[in-house]
Amino acid sequence: MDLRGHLENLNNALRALFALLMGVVTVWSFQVPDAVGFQRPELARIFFWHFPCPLLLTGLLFVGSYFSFRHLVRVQGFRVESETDNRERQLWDIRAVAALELGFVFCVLTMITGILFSLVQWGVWWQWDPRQTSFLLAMLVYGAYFALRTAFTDPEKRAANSAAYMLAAVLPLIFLIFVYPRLPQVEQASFHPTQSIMKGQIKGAYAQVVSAVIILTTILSVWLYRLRVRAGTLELLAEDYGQLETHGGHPAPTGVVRPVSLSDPH
Amino acid sequence: MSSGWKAEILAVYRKELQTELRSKSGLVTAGLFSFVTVVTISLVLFNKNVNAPGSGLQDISAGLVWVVILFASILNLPRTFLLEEEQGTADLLRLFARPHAVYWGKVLFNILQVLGTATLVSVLFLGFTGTRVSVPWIYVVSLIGGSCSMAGAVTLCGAIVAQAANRAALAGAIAVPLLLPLVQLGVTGMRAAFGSGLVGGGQAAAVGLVAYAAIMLAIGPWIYAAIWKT
Amino acid sequence: MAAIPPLLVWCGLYLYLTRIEKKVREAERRLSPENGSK
Repeated sequence: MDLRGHLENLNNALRALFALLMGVVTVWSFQVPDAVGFQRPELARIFFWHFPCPLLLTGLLFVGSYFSFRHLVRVQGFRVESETDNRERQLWDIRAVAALELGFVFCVLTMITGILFSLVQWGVWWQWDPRQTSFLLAMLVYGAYFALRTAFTDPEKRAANSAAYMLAAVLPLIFLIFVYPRLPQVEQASFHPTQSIMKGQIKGAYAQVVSAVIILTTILSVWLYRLRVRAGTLELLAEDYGQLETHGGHPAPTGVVRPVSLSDPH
Repeated sequence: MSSGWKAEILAVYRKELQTELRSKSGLVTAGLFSFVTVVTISLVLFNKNVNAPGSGLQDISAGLVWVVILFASILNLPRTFLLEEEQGTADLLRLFARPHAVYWGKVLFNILQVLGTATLVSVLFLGFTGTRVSVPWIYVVSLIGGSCSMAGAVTLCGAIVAQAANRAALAGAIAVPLLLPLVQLGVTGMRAAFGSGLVGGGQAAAVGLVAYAAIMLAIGPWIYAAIWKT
Repeated sequence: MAAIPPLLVWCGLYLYLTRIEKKVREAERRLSPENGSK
């Protein structure tokens, strides 16, 4: 077997292992004893799945904003002349979209798991809890970002303007996610326990399960992100392939050697 | 060097002012919208004593004022950039001015517009509904801070969508998520001003609004400068 | 009821994965020699 075959085997083995771990952690999350202090202790497990989502969502939001910044920041001061510059900027845009798409997925998951949790613990699905509202507004920002992207046909304009919007949104989002729920008058009205995690009240088996889920979902996110970036770069290549120039008027990368098929011919 | 900046900014500002005064369409639209909306809201609140303590109507009033100002702004403010694209004068602007100056000139004009709209809405709203303002300074500071933030954010969103499809509606749609934290702060402030919330909370909200405005106006020119050549 | 969130999380991420894979397949199809003009 050649190297490629070996690598593929390793890849598949890793994936199988990961799937196994996912199953193990899921089952484990059902084995830990019920939590006290909740209205429906047996359903407090929802927390294991609800908690990692906003963490990843916030992380991806700032990562996406950073990539948007990198996309824009080269333009100031000098014009983009060379093809490599242009390609690099397009890459930053792809990375930003990848991070933000994944972040949006986690945002939706956060909202749904949060609603479920609220339903079982307090009987109502929406309470205008400050954190709940903050993440709803974050979801609106995401929605606006993707709506903005669909409104441009020119890829350069699309990338630049959506990057600008993300940068404009960073500050309101920081305020919403970090400052607002911690304001004194707001914290009192909140159903979210801001102190319990900081003060280490989550101990023992619960802490372990939560950490395990966080680690697993983070690994999954990184993998999905890289896959999405690869999809984006492939799409970019496919667009320019077989044409004389790219959208931006730069010469398209011409195939010097016969292009290799990316799908396995066997 | 600084006189160069001031001259450029004032030039852009004067150009906006003159264009608007010639056609007056923005003023008329904003004014008409404010008037019609306030009348509608007052009608909806008919026979209700808004000032009755514990009725919760003061909180609703506080919210409604902001909603009217927000939507009137969204209708009107993006026009400063959208019209440039539609009328084909955008490239001329890029030739003759620097991005920061262009942004500041347009924002200054938009601040004027929003303050005008906010004043009109306040007068009409307080007049028609008879709401009493217990703590006037919170009201005024919240209004000014909120108006400046709104101007900064909506102007920037107008610049971002200037070359997009369906730009007029899109500008408003993407500006609203950025402004909702501001609306939250503003309503808190206004509830305190109408006497239904804690004065301490209102003070904090008013200060927060001014800070929000300062930050929005500070980062706006930089973001605009990054995209204005596209 | 407690089983819903993990299912949601895994299914949601899996659905996203299928979307990405669709994109990759489409791009690969366009890049393969029998389809491209070179």
